[in-house]
Amino acid sequence: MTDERLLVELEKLMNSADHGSVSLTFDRELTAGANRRTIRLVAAPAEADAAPFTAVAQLIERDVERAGATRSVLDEGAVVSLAGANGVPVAEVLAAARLPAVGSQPVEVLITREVVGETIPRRVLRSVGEVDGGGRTLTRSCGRALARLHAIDPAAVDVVAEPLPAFTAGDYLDHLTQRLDDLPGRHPTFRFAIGRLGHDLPSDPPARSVVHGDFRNGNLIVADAELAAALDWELVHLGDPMEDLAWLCLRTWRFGIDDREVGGFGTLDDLRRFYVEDGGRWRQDAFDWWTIARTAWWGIGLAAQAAAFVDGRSDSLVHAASGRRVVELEYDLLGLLADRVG
Amino acid sequence: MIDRPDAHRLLNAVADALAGDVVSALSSPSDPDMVGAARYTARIAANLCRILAREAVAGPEAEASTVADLRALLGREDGSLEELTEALDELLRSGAADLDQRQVHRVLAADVERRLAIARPSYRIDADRGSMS
Repeated sequence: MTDERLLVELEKLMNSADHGSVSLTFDRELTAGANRRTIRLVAAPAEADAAPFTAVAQLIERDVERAGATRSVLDEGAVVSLAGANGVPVAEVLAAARLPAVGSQPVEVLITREVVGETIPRRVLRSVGEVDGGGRTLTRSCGRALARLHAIDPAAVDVVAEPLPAFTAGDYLDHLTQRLDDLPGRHPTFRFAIGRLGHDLPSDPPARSVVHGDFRNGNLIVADAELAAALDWELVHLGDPMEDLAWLCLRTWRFGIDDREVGGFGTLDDLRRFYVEDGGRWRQDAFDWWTIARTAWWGIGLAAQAAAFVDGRSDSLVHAASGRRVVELEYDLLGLLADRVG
Repeated sequence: MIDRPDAHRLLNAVADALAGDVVSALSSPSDPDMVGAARYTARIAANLCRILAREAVAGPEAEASTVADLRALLGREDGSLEELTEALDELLRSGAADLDQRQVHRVLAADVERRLAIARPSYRIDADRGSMS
């Protein structure tokens, strides 16, 4: 689809939604991938006294025959709206629809209002540092957002394309084992970690929750040390809420500020307190288990990127370099496992 | 235990990236996107060169130490790093009832310390600062 044609379709879509009539202009491409692109648009409302605003459109080519290979952005939009309605800071969903097929694949689009703030992790950390008590403020904001997300009744999720994936800790462990078995090389540290995780499965959550799946420094828009919006809902699923809290605190997302367990800006004690204050239920055994499981998953993911480079599926230098970062995750894992073998 | 891509593949990857992205950007210095991408590539390439320089010095001894540890752990008198790594992985996969978990942890941790000293020495958390969690 040409950009002009696309713009016409997006404008029609915006105007069929309940936001008043707007005319759109293309601002710039934010990301472009094989079957996913993100563009920034300027929307000028028809009413003379309304100010123009910026919007972000995510477009995916989605082969409906291979549903499940790519998450539908329509479903992503449904979850984001539901989270927003329950008090989780998100980018407001303006429209979500399947566009008429013009190319080889149908295109799905999700348009959200642009949220102003920092997302690049080191800039987030710098900006939070400039606000008095900023680290604690952002930690409170994150703890509250996750408590509200996890309080949502999964039955309220109204997806269009397919149900959200659901998994338990045991299912996740099977998934990790499969990912490890699929790697061409041998990685005894990950095998060891999986063995310990299987030996020590966590308590079941009191109820299955909506889990963001990628809630961490880098996917958070931060303004004045508050969470302005949680981004990247592609991995949303039903499962154990402690998975989100563990992932937020992974060492990888601290960007070198290791004594601030929460994304390099907050302390674990504060996160636990704020999460519980807002109604979340903290289960330490599950937090510890998911910290190990997600660290292993990330390490196996880096090894998979390196394998893609080695066998010629990728020519990215970043993927080649990932192979030499695997040991960092092994180091973290063995530190986390030290208490479990004593 | 065995880091991939190996030095040979990584050096070729660095050379390709320098001859590709970086040289193209030098030919189009007015394109900010190309210059930005080249800056990013050059930083990664430089870091990989430093890793490979450390590996050239410390790699052989690190590998020999891990081989010795693995032979002791598995009760073997010979075997290459590749064979021993595979043997340990198989044992762990099948449940490894007869392996002392503390011993396995110690061997893995010593190997990781040596590889981390090559890949990213600054990542190590010093003992006097306490454990990471």
